[in-house]
Amino acid sequence: MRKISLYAFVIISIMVMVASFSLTGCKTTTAAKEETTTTETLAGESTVAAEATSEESTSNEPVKLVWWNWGEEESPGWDAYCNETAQLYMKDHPNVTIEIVPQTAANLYEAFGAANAAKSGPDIQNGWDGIWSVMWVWDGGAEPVSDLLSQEVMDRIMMKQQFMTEGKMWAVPLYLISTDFWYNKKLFKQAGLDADNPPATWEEFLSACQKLKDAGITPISAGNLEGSTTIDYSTYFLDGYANKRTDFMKVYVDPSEDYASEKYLEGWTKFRELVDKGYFNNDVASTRYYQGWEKFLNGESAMACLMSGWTKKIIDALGEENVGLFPYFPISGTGSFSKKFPGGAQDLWITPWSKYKKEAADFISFLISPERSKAMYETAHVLPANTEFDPSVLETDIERYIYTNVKDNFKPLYSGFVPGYIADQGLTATAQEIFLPDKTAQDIVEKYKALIPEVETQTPSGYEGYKKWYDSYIEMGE
Amino acid sequence: MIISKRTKITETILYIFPSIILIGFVFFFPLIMIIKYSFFGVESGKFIFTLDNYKGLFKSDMFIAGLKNNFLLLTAVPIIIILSIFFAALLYEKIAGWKFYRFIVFLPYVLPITVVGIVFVYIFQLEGIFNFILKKIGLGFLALDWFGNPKIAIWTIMIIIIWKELGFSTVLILARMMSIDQGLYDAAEIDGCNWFQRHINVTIPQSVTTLGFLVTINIITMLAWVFNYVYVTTHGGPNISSTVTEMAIYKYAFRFNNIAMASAASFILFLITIVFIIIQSRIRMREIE
Repeated sequence: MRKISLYAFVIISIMVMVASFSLTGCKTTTAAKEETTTTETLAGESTVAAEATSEESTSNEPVKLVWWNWGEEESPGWDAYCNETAQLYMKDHPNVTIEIVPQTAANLYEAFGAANAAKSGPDIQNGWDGIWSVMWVWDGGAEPVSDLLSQEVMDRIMMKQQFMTEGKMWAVPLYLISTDFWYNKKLFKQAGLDADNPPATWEEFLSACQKLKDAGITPISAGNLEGSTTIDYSTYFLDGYANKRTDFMKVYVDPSEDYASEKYLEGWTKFRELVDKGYFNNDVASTRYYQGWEKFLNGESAMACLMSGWTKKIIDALGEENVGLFPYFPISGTGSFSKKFPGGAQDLWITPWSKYKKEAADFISFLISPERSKAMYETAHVLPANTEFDPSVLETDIERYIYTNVKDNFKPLYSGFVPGYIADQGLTATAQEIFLPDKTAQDIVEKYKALIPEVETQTPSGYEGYKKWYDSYIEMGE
Repeated sequence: MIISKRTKITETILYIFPSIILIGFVFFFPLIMIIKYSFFGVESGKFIFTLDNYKGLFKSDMFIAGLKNNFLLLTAVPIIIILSIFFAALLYEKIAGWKFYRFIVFLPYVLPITVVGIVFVYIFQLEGIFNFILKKIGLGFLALDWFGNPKIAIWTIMIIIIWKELGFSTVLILARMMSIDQGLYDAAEIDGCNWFQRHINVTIPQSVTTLGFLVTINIITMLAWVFNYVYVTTHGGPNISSTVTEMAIYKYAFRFNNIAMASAASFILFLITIVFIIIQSRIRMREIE
């Protein structure tokens, strides 16, 4: 009996200790939340706070800024640019140490998710356009940068609207991106097509694809093993009816919008038509994303959708004289978006748990200075999202063409403005079925439609945030 | 000095108390936190008892598909065990170069899953090496889209898992076989048992404990240790055809920032794993008795 009592004592002690730890954890979480709330509540007054921090920083106390970014994968040369910029900044600010942590694009967000859950991690985080960065606002992973940057710096930032919600800007656009549809002029000529004037309508496009196929050339190459290709193509096929971004955001917040209606079905039907007619490489479903791009670079296909970060690589691989770029994807939609250039900006933001927000903002201001923006292009060959950037330094006509279009005739990338759950389960997972032999556009639409109500049940905080974001654009007149 | 029984027990408990506290903290603390978070009210964000997270999970196609695929992967456990016994029996014969073969069999186990995944993606692509060979030897009708076809993607992943995990089981069984009294094999041979019968009647009964351990380990692997294989090959696709429960947990936690549902899914997976281990242990105990 005594023995049992002793064992019971030990077990109860363990339980009490574990429960205490749990409760402590709970209290810590609550405290952390309260702290975050306080920060958010005071966001409007944060400029004052930032100034105070700035004064503190003049005391030359050691400052360490940790910056997580995607390294070379997105744009070759990016590592060199980041390292050079950090070195220059540290030279001018001897008390500041900048630690750059390059990560794979696939891991960057997941790692940040873990950091955000622990409220500990980088001071500065790189992110992708639109939702991919704004989503962290709703989960307490981003600080409003518009409160931390000076007006002068704010004035030279392009694409601010991509990261605006609730009246503030939450991420700083670094460089412009576009989802470009490229073609190989040499292969076009080989198939008897006009290499200087790419197809402008859907019918012309289908006809060109058929001519290429008849000539033994794969019309379009892509790799969709991970589902990323369908994300890219969504911006061609799914917003052709839209005139502003809220037109396509509406279906995710307004239950009266029927996703099975013709305007939504049309894009999927056209996408499927390309698959049915065999215009994609036959191994698209089991080919990796970047492998699909490489096929175009190797001259194995006549057309491909590649992000603008690879522009230099494309030109180097095919020769500038062989590189052609569609001004817009010829889907022939009824909305103005069907004739626009899909673009946006890659960005970075400051985390709420950073001890050195003002210093981080100061470093970001340096990153996007006119001098550093020029270096950004020269080293990483990306197009800085900076109004003071001089486009005359661009080396090729193609780059000038992209820069002008993204600047003056852009439409936001579709995948950057849908709920995160839809981007993953809809545009990535469900959309993969578009390449399966026994599926129809109708099948995809039905499955996609079923996902829309799940946004609220599966990601409640994300859904609430998304609605606010939508409302913000309505307020901004979009 | 005579130490009373009570003092002895107290002393023992006091000695092991720090370790128990440490183990309790390392193992039970995360578990309790997961259970706690799984019952979070997702709307209020406060610790309110609710079953909404669990209800939500069972409405999620991704989670259901993940569970189904984990159960499907359990069929790899007997395959691994049978193949391991077979290879171990072959190696036990100490044929010329057996040590080299043992190294070859064990090699996949030490390779990083990331490397294995990347290599197999290239091998099993529609235009990959495997299909190329099949076509060259006149078996073109077997050349399938191994990862691109939702009906077979999970089976392809299973093949990779078996290939990778086989070495560990084989080496363990071989080690056990080497410690079996040779007299038992000799006796079986004198009794007229052929190679196959010798292993059925001697190796398997003599290796029950090892086999039980391997079954447990492999069950745990198939239920809760296959994320890496899926992530580096198909990402769970096409659509959700090759997703697994861990993938769903990962997506809830790090893609959808829904820790509550990730915790609920983790707890369900934990319970399922425990149930399988208990069943397997009961069966093993009966066999030993």
